[in-house]
Amino acid sequence: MNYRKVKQANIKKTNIVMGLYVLIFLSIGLLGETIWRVALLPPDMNLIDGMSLILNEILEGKIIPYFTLIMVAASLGIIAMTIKFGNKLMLSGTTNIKLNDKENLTQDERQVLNIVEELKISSRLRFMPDVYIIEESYMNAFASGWKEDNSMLAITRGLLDKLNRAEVEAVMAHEIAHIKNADIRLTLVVGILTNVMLMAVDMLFYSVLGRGGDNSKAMQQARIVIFILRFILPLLTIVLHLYISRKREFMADAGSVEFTGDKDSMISALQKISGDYEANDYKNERENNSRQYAEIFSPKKLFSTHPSLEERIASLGGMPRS
Amino acid sequence: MWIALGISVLVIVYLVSLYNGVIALKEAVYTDEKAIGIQLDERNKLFDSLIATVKKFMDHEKGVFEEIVKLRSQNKSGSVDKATEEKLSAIVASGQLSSGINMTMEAYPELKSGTNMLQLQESIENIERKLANAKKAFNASIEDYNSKVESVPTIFIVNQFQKQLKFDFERWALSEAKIEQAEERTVSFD
Repeated sequence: MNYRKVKQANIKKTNIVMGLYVLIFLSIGLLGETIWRVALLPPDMNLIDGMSLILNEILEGKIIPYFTLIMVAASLGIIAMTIKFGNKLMLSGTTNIKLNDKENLTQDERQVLNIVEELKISSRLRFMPDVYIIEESYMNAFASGWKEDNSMLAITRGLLDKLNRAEVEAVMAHEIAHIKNADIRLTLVVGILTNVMLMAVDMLFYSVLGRGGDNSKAMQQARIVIFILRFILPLLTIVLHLYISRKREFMADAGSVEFTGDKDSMISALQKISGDYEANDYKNERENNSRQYAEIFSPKKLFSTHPSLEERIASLGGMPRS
Repeated sequence: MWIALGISVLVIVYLVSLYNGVIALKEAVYTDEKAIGIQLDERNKLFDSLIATVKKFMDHEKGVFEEIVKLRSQNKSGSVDKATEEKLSAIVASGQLSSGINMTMEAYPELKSGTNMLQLQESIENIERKLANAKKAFNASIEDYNSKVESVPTIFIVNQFQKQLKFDFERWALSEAKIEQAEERTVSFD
């Protein structure tokens, strides 16, 4: 596998989608500004002309885009909250032990900590992440943290018991690659932008309903656009979010190979994890949804945050299981 | 006029960020170079203390083992008392046990040096990997530095500030002779 190529290709794809996201965010902001000031427009002006008029006035500094500024402020506020409480949120609902300052580590626990120390060096991470073991029998692992210096890794007991040293190393390297690529930050920001956008569209929807009397051309068109947006936007954001998430998984797999120099262990670890999910029914696992973007594997088929096993193995340069 | 000023400010900010980026990469190379020495030092210290600890433990357990065997054989050479012997031969005679079997059950205390050896193995694997990874990280840092410094548009900045930004780092590698020597090595238990 040429991990440099895989990384580059997927960075490009995420950048395009992120650009699209910001564009949608700003367009909704502009739509809000226009609806807010619809009374200032000539009554027979259509929506597009109205929006470009408002955009010009904003760019010339004649009006301040309050609606968009509020959207941005709300996003930043929620981001600040998640930076503070993110790691605790990710671990909530689990029994876990933190290994970094635990005394009397067992053989397995010592090994996990050693593996993370090794990978910290090969990945050139400048801080030692907190390492947690979650006392559950299903096989999974995830990473969290806004920046490298408050990052954490968690691995379930099931994964630790069923994989050998090289496979655990591959899984941990995948998670460290998520930290290095700032994927947790990326998916969080995308999630928050999505929610703020949906909230803004909802607000616009009710304010448009409340202004039934206004029958200018721009307002009539704005009503239609918002009705459509209210149905399309949730679906569109899910598709984009999943797209980004899947591309980042390919990148993390590539990073794992970069840090361990061993693609076969990553492949066999993925096969074992997927086989384990097929053989067992872990019903209680899905209760914390905040984790699913960060985990190594997602058992879901449709609307999965992760690419399929076959795609991941193909990207890693292995032969798919027949 | 204002627009031109704005654009030139942006360009300057961009150029400064390129310059700073190269400085950060250069410093990372130095840090990663020294990290190899740190790992070597850690390895030497760890090996000394590990070997001392394990030796001590094994000596101790060897003593325990010898003591047990000695005590057991002493016990065997002394005679079993009469009543027990009669009981035993009665059992044998009744045919409940086939007389040919001579059973000896001995319980030994669990010896710890087996687990110690496993821990030792893990420690050695850990430190050796850390050392190898430190070398890989050093080389990767040089790769990052070189590919930044040699690519457009950074190369224009670097040419302006040769003294501050241009360095010729050499990647960590075994010498040719050592590589040949290492290639010939095979596993042998003789």
